[in-house]
Amino acid sequence: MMLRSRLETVVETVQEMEFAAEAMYHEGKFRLQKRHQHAAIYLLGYAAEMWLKCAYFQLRGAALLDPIEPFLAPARTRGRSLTPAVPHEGYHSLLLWSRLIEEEWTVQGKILPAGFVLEFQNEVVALYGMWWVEMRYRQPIVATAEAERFLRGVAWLRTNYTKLWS
Amino acid sequence: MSAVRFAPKREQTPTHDLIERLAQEFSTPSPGEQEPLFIEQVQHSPAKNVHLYVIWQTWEHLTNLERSEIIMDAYEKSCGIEKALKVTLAMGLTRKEAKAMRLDWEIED
Repeated sequence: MMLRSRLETVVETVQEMEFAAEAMYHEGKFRLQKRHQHAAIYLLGYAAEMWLKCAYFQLRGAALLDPIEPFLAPARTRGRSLTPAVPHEGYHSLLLWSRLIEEEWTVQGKILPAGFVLEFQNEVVALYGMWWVEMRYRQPIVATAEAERFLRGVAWLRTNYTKLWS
Repeated sequence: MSAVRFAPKREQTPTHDLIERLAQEFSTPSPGEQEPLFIEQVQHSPAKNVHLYVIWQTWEHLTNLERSEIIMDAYEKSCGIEKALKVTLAMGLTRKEAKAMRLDWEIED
């Protein structure tokens, strides 16, 4: 069976996405070690996107084995209503997912240290300034320092992922 | 040189038509088991979030995401944004898919 067919039979669940995020993270790190900065950022960006999505879905009540897809359109509706200035970019916008997470913290009355919230906002804004899904169609002009900064931001998300939703 | 025209194999109902029809169903549900059939499940959470399932053969050829977006647009159109914001899950299924998921429902009188 061809790879695509094999992968398409796997349901995209929260757990599956967490596994994929971890795999993309390590693959991105490896690319950076090989000085493939553009590929590194691209893969690391996907890891960031997936962690943000999974954090949001779990904040909204998704369980590990719940399929992801039915949660996307409701998130789009919330985004359009609560953060209309932030387009969802085909559901890939790091900024939108982070804003939805912050919005959900407010709705649920979650109290997080101010320093943590500020770090979260700063890291996501930095990542958003360097990654969007359509960068795949651009030629690679990423500086090493940018890629290393990007890795630090994604590593922050990885380290603090559980705090975002639990 | 002769040209070959490619045409869609199947006429698909435009998305906005599906949104209109579904919004009408949310506003005035049809009796019995007529499709589109929707299940509105309020969660046992403090926020009383809602899971929406819509069973409809018409969207057999649409992707899960397209179905979900149609559901949300129709629900917002029919029930307003405040109610739509309570929805955390919107899933469109055919009857066969609903049965495979073991989705169970009762028709409200």
